[in-house]
Amino acid sequence: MTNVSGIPKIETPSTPQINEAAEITEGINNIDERGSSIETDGSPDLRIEDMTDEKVRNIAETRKTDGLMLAEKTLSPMDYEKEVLNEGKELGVLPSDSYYKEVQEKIIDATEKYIEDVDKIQNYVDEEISKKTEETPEDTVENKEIEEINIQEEARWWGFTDDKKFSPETQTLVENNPDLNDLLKDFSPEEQEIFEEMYHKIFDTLPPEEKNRLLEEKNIINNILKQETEKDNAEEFRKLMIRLAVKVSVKVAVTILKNIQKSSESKAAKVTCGTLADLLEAGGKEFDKAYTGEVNPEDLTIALRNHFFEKA
Amino acid sequence: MSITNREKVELIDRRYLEFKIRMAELKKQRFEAIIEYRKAIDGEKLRRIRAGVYY
Repeated sequence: MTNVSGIPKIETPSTPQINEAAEITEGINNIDERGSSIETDGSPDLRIEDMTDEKVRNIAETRKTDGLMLAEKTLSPMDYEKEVLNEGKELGVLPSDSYYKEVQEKIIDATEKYIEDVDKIQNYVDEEISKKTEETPEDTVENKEIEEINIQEEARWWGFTDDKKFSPETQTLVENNPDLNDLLKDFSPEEQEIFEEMYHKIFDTLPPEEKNRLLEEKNIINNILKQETEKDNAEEFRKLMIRLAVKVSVKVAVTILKNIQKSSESKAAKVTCGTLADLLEAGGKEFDKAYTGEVNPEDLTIALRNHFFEKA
Repeated sequence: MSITNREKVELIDRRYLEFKIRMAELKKQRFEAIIEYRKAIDGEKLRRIRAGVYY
């Protein structure tokens, strides 16, 4: 755009654009002075202390969703920004790194750190809920013994050995790096259903970077999930999770396992999924390094052996 | 050390507030960067006008 003299007019933001920018501070101004999620009725202390662990957990979940929505909104370009980007593109003027790359990365990093912190609080609450469940008076010695036997039986069904170590097949599997299809084809319909449900449930809550990473694998996984088989094979499920951790993301595999741990009615499934999640988390850094190419396959094999077989 | 439910909720809320402020700061940084980008575009326009290639 040029003015009468032919000199380009320096386009300062219009009123609506300034209003849009004013959203920057809107969030701060609108926050309750206490910044609290707690509804009070004049006797806040009593109500807060009476709040159940489950309620605290729900608040954490809500805050996580709010945070992701806020991050998504922050990442979306403003109207004024879109105009500038279009004009820059037409003129062949590229935005600086400080514009796109650095700020976008900071937003993603801050979001990931935030989710991580809320997860920590959630995990803490879950641990407390778990402790309270274990301490219920119905857990008589006899019941506990029966339950222990059932857990062992079911844990074996899930593919765990009694000493919680992974089988030699798993080691071979990781070392030989077979195709993901081979691991998933033996899923039972029930396992496929669990996996698909968990996969979609967590996919929507992942940070954008993680989503992009997963999208690369999405077609492979979806194709495999379409295959049906009557064969029950918990070992394959376990292998899938390890494979998923290597191939896609430790965080995804661990989240799936923890979701099953929380939602399953089977205590054995809870225990085995919890153990596997812990093991994957322990080896997580090595997996991630392998994924990003920081370590070569030989080093990964050694790292896996250390994490899963010697330390398990 | 065990913390009460009140402290847990306050912790969650405080962290959310910090995150919200951080997002606002980053959005501000981004807006400032857009303005800089806008200036670069206008500079390019000016250069082309002077060179007689902008209409």
